[in-house]
Amino acid sequence: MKTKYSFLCGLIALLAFSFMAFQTAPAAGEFAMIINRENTINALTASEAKLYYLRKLKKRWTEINKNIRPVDRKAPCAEQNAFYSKILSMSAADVEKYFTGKQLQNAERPPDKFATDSEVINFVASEPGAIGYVSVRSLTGENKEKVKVVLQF
Amino acid sequence: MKKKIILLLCILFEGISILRAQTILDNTQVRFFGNTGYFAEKDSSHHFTHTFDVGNIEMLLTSQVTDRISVLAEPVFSTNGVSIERLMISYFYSDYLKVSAGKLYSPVGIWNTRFYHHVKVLTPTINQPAIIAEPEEFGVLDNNDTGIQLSGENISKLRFGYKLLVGNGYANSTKYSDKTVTANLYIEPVDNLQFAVSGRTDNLAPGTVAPTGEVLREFNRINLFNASVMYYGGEKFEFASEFYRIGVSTPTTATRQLMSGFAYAGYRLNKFTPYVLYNKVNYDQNMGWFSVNNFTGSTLGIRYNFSALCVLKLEGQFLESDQFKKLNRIGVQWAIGF
Repeated sequence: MKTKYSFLCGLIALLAFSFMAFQTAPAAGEFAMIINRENTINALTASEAKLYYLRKLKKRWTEINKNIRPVDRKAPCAEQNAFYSKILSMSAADVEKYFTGKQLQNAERPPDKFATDSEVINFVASEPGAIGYVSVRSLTGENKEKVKVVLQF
Repeated sequence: MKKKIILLLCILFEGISILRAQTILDNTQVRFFGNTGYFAEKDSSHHFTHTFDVGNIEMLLTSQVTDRISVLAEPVFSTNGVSIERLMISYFYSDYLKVSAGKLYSPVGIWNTRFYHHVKVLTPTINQPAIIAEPEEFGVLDNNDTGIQLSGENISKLRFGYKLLVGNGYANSTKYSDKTVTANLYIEPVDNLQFAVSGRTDNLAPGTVAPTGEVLREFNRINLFNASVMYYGGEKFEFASEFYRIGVSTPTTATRQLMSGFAYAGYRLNKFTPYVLYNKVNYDQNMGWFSVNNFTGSTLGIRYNFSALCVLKLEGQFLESDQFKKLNRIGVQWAIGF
């Protein structure tokens, strides 16, 4: 009887824990905008993030006197889709065309592209002017300490 | 011991050189653009011709040499050989001031500074509007200049920008002519909506050879004024319109004028974009520097974007000019970037 009771309690606890975990885990496609820790900016609105990323507001971070270096993902992924649609309001083709046009017009450097979130985080951590986006799920533990989150979506 | 130190220094120097070369390579991007097409045309004498067209291959080489210095080289490979379309070295001081030197596109209008001539994959139409087209497409203006340019952008909330170019201008080969000054001012008050005005003045010395082959006997002053508006890069609708007035004057003759304008409109439907382009060039008689060839062109077209840098365009063009009276043409162009 006691064993059955313990088993039932354990099962309920497991279910409750799973439910809570399910409730608090970020959904696929949730992303955060990250910048280098040296950058003195602490938060960006969605429209500011768009203008900085596209280098439309400024080409350099005046606070740290460094070129703005947008960072992108190599292949389509949930974070990229969400970032393009929610922040840039552009399709992947439009983003590609936009940066190619900028390269043609002013020799502007196109975004640095990486295959994984951890590569993006490592690059942003090492490059003072970088601005990128990663899945919220990738910003745990050591990774979170490497960069600064300025916007979460 | 001395030999060992020299060897160590050599290894160190080699290592630094390799690292430096690697850094430059990491900061250098190379892109290629190309296009090919087919054109069928019938003129007013019912003469029918059709031809396959191999366009140019353009190489775009850009490099961020340091945090502030960048280089752009744009050689174009065609059946006639290789030409340097642009070669630009820039020093970026701030958003408000950038200094560029070399062979650049003349900062006139918006279309000319946005849709570069051999990169057809990013150009909305098969050909540029006549006033800024290549000479073989009834073009009028010289779109490149060699000189030094000051520019700035993102100034104030209106996103004001400017470009000021001092260059050789039309008198590229005549040392007695004054330098050409070209200025371009623009604002982008709303995302993707730009307004611009441009001006340019050329003073050509006697002895300069005009594109018509005529040798100028006296000083020619060419003044250009342009006003432009463009909405491009939004979700659906796109349009552009530009007006040009060019005056040619000499000490002994009154100013003769060339007036030109074009209007473009397109509407994006997923990957398809139907569009129209109308352009007109009107000359006074005896323009001196410019050979008179009044031109009117209407274009109906549709483009299909396979991807960001792969596009197919189909156009019906209805052209009239002094040169060939009437010409109806169907054109297909497949342009790509990689």
